[in-house]
Amino acid sequence: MNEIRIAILCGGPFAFPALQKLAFEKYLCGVAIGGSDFRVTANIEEECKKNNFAFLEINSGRNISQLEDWLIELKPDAVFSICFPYKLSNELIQKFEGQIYNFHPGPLPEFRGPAPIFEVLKKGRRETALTVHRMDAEYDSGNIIFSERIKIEELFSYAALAEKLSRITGMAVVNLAEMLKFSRSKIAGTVQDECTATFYPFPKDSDFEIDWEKMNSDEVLNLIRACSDWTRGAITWLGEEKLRIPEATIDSSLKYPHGRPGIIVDLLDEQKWVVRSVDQKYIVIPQISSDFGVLGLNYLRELGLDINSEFSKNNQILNHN
Amino acid sequence: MLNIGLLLPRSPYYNSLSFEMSAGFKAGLKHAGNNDIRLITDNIGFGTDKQQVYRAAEKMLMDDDTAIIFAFAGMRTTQLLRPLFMSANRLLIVLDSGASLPQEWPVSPNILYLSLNNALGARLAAKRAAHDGFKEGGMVTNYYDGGYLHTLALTEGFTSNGGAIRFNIATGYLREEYKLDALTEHLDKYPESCLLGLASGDFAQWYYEDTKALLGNKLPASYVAPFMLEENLLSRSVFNGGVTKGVASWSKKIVNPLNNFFMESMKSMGREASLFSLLGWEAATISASVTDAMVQNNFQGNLIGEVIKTASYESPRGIIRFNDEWNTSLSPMYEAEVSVADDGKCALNVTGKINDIDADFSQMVSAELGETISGWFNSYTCC
Repeated sequence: MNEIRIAILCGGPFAFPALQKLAFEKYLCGVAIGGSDFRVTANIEEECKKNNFAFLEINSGRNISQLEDWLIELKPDAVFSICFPYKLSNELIQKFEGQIYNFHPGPLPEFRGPAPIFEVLKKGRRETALTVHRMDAEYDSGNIIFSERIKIEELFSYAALAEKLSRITGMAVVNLAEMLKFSRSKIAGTVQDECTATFYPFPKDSDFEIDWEKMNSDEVLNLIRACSDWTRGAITWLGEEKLRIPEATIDSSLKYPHGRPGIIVDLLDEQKWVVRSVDQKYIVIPQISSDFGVLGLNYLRELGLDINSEFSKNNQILNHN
Repeated sequence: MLNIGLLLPRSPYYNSLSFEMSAGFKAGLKHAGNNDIRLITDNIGFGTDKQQVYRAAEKMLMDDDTAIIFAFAGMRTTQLLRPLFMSANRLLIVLDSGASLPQEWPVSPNILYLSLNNALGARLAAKRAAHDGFKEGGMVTNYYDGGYLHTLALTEGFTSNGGAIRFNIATGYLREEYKLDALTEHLDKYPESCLLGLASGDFAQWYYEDTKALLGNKLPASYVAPFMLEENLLSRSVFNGGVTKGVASWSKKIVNPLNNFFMESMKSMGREASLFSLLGWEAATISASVTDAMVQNNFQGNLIGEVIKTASYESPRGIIRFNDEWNTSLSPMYEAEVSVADDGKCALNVTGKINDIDADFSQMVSAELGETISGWFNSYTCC
């Protein structure tokens, strides 16, 4: 074991590279996981057993108090929180004051909140960051220790960006561990500028919906990329059928007569639906899903999807009705 | 008065490395006519003791209040220091051998690389082999240099220009383990091959010695990376009788007034100009040109880094500028050929200047590495 012992609080696979790196460098002493599916939790528990790391599963926000007892017993030198889904109590933060660090997968203070990857992609940003900061009583507002800038490639989906951020987090945990180990004094960090701070709450279903009347083609595409693998796609409605669009492109070479947005104007190669946007551009959709999985062409046709069908926003249907 | 830090390593192959670097810095500062900079140096050993490296940098930042710190360091040492500089928002300028590839690690706004571009030079040397008509080649490296990804730059430079790598040789670390015997078998099998040499320090010297002893007049043409063309090293190396071409980052033979002045300046300090004194000189040139910007930007490293990247700098090796995306310096490189000196040792002739290196740099940094990164923990590679 290294001289610095670190406990990880995490929410699932996003933290895997960080766990691997800290274990390899012999910094890891324990893992607490919350909100993940049973297979991920079981895997981590097994690895912890094999390597003699302490392990704790938090099933809900209600039994978060277990975490305090667990940490008091474990006595880590530092606690790294990586997408841990529950808010830590103020008592816990005070008890471990200056020892808890959060690895926030978005730029701070501009993208505070629990879903920064979604928000950054939805806003069409070309750059994001992994921000390492001290944890204090408020959400994502503690002093910034350092942040890693990350370029967002044109075709990045949610999963692609999450994977990149996850890998960078794997590197950043070792960076911070080494800082804690070698630094002769407390790492103060920089106070966040509240003037540029924005907190985004966890998105609601309506935040995943495409508003064909208002959103231009770029905004539609950004929303689709932001949802993609995370929510199985951005939501649109065909009558009363809720559909999901996990990927799309804008094809500026396509030309059709101008008209209402949300209308399907073509079906290319019997598989790619072409939809008109409000700025009269054409969005090519190679795949459409429901909440249960990918839908084939025949089934979509049974639902009534065809050229001249209209995609809409949920409340528009309700209003029409 | 502004404090500029210089973290200096020790080298088992190059004892005077630290002295040359700081002498180059002082001479460069004098040439720039800047009296507002105080140089503060510290030793970071071989760069392998993380605690020593980290504490030295931390001390410079906190106690000495340095505006910029230069460090002759490799990628791994840089990664150790990266969060410290980001956290303090100060600027680290790595005096970089360029043996690693920029895409091995994330770019940081608080770190610039003033590079000798060894990987890029290796790529250009291999490209030169392909353009000279060689369709087949073999890489000859060693345990030490083979641990850096300039190996990839070299082989890709050859294969992406129509060549095929037929064999690779990586020798051991010690003199008695440095064996090129396998070359005869490979060359019997692939007689049309050229050799793509990648070595530094003693390994380069042994390459010239052993290729001569092993292959004599059957020696095929060698195309070698910049470190194998370092002139102080060549002056100690026996000429192997074959054709050795390559691409150099800098040479005493480069003809321009500033290079002459640089060499004279070093001579007046009792030293031969070298790649290390060149890096020191360039570090001083950059520092002197941004003294006002340092104050105006309140010493914030990310902002000073941006200022430095927008300008270009006159160096003995030509005009230096920084690639904005990769924070790495680029400068002209020089086609060169090894010849025999009066004492039977090697000499270098510069045969051409390569100004247009951006496309090759772009191709080099676009190589997908997957999980491949350099494996060495030591501070740097050096010639």
